[in-house]
Amino acid sequence: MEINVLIVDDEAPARTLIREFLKGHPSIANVQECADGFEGVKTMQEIKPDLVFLDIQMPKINGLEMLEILEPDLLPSVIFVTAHDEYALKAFEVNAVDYLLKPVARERFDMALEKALSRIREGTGNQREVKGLVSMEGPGPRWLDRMVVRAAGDIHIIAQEDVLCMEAQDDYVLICTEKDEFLKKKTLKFYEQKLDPSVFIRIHRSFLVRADAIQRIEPYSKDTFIAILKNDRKISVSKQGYAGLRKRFDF
Amino acid sequence: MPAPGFLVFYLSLWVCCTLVHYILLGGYADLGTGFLALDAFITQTSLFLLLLPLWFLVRFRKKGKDYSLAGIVNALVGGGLLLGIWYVVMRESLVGLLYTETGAGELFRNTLGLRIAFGFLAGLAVYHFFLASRLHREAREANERQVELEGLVLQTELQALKNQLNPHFIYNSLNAISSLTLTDPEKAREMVVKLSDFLRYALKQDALEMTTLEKEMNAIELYLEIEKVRFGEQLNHRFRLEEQDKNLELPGLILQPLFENAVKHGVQQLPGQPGPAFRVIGNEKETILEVSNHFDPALGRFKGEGVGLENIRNRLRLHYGNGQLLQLEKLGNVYFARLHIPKPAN
Repeated sequence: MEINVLIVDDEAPARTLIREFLKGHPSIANVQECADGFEGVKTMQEIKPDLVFLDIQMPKINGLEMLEILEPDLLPSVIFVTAHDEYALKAFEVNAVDYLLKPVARERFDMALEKALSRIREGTGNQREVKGLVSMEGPGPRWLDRMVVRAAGDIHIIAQEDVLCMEAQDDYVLICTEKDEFLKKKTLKFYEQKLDPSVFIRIHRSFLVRADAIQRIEPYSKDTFIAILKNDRKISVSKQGYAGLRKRFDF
Repeated sequence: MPAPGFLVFYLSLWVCCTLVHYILLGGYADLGTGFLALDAFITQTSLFLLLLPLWFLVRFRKKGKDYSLAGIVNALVGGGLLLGIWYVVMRESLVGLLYTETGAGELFRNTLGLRIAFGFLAGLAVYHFFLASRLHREAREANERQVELEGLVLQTELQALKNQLNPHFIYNSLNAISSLTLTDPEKAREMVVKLSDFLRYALKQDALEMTTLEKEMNAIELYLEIEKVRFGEQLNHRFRLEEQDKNLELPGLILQPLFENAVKHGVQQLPGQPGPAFRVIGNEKETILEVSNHFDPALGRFKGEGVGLENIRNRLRLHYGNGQLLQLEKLGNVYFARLHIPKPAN
């Protein structure tokens, strides 16, 4: 059995090292390289490699974010290769084959490769779908500061500052910025917990809104209200939501 | 020993009281100016001399118990004793010597009440004056001890802040060198030496150590040369310094995190872009060291703050007393980090 391998790392010498280590292994058919996350996602969709050596800290989008936006059935076996040891727990959560620390030791590399090959042979190779975690807990900001979404084949990075509101739509969340809307397969509850509550407030079962994007609040029916945002978008406010707003803005 | 200003105050008080006594007595009794003057002089001088021992009462009191029962009793007893002596002195000198006619003796008896009352008030005032003076002195001494203590704490804090070099830089560089051993062993050897030269500078034990801008920039050049291996050839790593800037004193390794950020958000994200730029701007009160890099505003996350910057701020606060000496600014798609190094006072 021969497998196709993809190496994703922004540092050329790091990619070369993995490539060199792969030389001489009989089960390796093809080795390709990508220098950043966007390229990586594109290539993974195109060539559907069996095994990916993935760096985590990369420009634009990082290794974990990449996995998050891939279709679940496209997820290959992953071996993380990184200088940071703090993501080991996360790697375990996503069922990665292994986690190699830089500088990479040949013996550890060989062991990881063997593990990957046997998992692929047995058919248990694929990554578990990356659900509900990619917010880089551990070192770094406490609250989510950006989201990565796929739309019509393009990858978009949305900064937390640009999000005006979010609307729950079944299994998805509609993320609204001033000019655009994006669907992401997450729950509203997830974002309620991961976004800074001093910035975002849940004003309705289906709506999470950026507090300072609210221009004014008007009564709608007996107990409910409508919040009008800066871009004139209207959002329903439930009774509890209104109470929350009153508390927040002190009126 | 009480301060000189203190003695001046005491003397002026004595002079005032003597004058007031003279005037009041003159208004009350019909005596010749000679008698009035002598009366005033003897009364007040003896009083003020006898009140001086109150200083010892203050000096050797139990601290913090100034208004306790014991303290008050102490003061009253001491004061009372002194007043008693004063009374005797007054009587002997004034009645015995000065006012040998019967009429003046009566004068003394009539004014005795006032004299005693005055003596008592004066004693009270003087006692508190001594107390205030002493308290002031004690407060100043406590303050000096406090400052000394804070100095020691500062030293300890500085020690704790040393060696804040980002370890991931080391691991990533070693990985790159490891790779080079397979593809370009000569370059690998070069890099090992450069890395160890850089680490020799960066891991210096003494965090209090100041270095010169020239030495710091040499280390930064080494650092960037190592990063070049990881990220590509376009990293500019030669910086020219003006002669007068070369010997500028600054805390060691304080610029490195700024360059590290510049690489991380600049070149690493935008391959092909020029690397970080550096310049020195001087004015009368400070020298500004500026590190700048291009960045991609479209990339949502731009961590302005990080442990590295926090550390710089702490070190600046400890060295110069001001944590705001690091200024960050974004202009368009260029990011500026500026260190304001104060010029020495002389």
